[in-house]
Amino acid sequence: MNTQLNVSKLFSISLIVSAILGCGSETDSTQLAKEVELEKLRQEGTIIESLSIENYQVRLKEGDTHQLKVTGIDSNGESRDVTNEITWKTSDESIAKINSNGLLTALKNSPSSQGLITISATTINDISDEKQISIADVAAESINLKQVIPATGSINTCTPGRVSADITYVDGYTALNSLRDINLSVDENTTAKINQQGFVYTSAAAVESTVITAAIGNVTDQLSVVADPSNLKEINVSFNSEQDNELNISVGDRIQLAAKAVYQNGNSEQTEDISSSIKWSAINSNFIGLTPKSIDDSDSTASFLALKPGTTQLLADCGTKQKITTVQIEGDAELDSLEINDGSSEYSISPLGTIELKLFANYSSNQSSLNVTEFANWSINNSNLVTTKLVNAGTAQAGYRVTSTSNTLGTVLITVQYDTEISSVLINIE
Amino acid sequence: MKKYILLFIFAASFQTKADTYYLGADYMLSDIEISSESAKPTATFLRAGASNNNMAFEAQYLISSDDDNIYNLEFELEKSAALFFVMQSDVVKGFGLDISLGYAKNEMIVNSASEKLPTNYNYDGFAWGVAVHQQIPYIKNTQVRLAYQSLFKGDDVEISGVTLGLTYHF
Repeated sequence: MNTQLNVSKLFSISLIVSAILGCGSETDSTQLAKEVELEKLRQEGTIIESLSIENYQVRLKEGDTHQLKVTGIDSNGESRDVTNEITWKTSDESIAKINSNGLLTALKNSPSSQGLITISATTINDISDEKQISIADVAAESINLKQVIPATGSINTCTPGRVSADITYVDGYTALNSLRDINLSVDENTTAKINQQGFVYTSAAAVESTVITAAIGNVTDQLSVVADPSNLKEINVSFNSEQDNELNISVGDRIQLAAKAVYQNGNSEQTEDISSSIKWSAINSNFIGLTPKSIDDSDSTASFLALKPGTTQLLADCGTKQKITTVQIEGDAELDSLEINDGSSEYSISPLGTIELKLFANYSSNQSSLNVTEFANWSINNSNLVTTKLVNAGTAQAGYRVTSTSNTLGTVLITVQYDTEISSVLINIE
Repeated sequence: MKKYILLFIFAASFQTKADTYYLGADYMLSDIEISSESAKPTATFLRAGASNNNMAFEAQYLISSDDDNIYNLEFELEKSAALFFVMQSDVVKGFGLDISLGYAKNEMIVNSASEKLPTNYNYDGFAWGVAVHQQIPYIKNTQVRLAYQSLFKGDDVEISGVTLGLTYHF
């Protein structure tokens, strides 16, 4: 009886829920929801009264993406980024689409003159701006490389400077502040480094002039930037986000490094992050393994790994300043053997395939092991069958990536030396 | 119309006749949520139901008691009529739990300075609720009841509320 009742109840519930769920109706409340949002903005005084699309004068081609930005001025007279608060539209959705966060994707090249299409940005209270953006695959005619940070004068040594470029194309269109398709390089005789976002990192102890070259194919331009260390007052370093003059750590500890510089300009002081410019070194590099910050990856950090017990000094140099930190490492690290991956003497990959090798130092004293891949000397013994790359540097997952370069079959002997030990492995391409 | 026919078929599928009838009156602190803002107008509603074998049919009718503002917009849950199928737990020491599934027709009024904005809004659809009730000592057949009800959930608007009231069983 109870079973019959339960079945009846379940059937009834299913019937009623399915009947009811399919039968709802509601007055369109979109306008009401919008009015509530408008009222909120009015009350807060943050309703936008004018806006302007920025960084729109670029040249894209099919498949490219470009992040647009819109700045608005609210009823309090304050300026703010409203890129994510507005409705975006393009004049031709078949040529370019744009998402709610202002990321524009060029779907195909525009057939119009100079490849121009119109993009518009509209706020909830119908304030709008529209600009033209160019989507066309046309060769560059000239580059005008320019310094943007600082806009004029010399760069404070160690502080990142920045360059950008205006590119004129053969159809007469000029893209402003664009490094798209540009290859940047610096004079090799200086301390300067540059990444493809145009950031210039300098560290010389004297005034240094560096020539930066921008190239798109055969079209080039050069710009000379000067780095001056005279305003550099001091540098401060931090270890795992804390400032210490002496570190007491154990074998196997990995310490994140960061650095800031203080500049004196007249009576004012300003502090800048110089983690990408500073040079790290150790008095005895056997005790610690250093991983510099990559200038091509803004998320990377410099770090070091404590490899052996003992005392060493970590040096941080930039411009005319140096910071010395004593590092005391405790623990046992009696190297017993080296092991590549799981210890096999050979591995197989397919043509054009990849394998990641990790080198572990095994310590007999405490039966532990450390990934020392990035601190070892690897050799492919002049083989042209593979290329290699260090990956995940600065982490416990650091690896030595070996990639077959062609369809050619063969065997590559890879040897690696760490400390006093040597190990090897055969890579069969088959 | 289809929903009423289905509900009628469902009601007719009850195999035995009701053995208890009840009436209730509740005070509701409603919550009208729109654009991440909410208004909390109050309302009063009456309930009438018939139960059998831990199942019940319940009709309820709500009338507005007060309005509430979201900034300069005045919200009022003008009226709401709902029909629920109620699954009732066994009553232990006077305490019981009900779960309701049903259909509600809600009418909301919004007053604003904007002439472009409509005043009346109707939201009809699935409604559900969960309630606990406790027999009141010394007052025969009377329970105090605390419940949460979701009267509508749509794309832009959600109407729900917490209710407190009394139920009398005949």
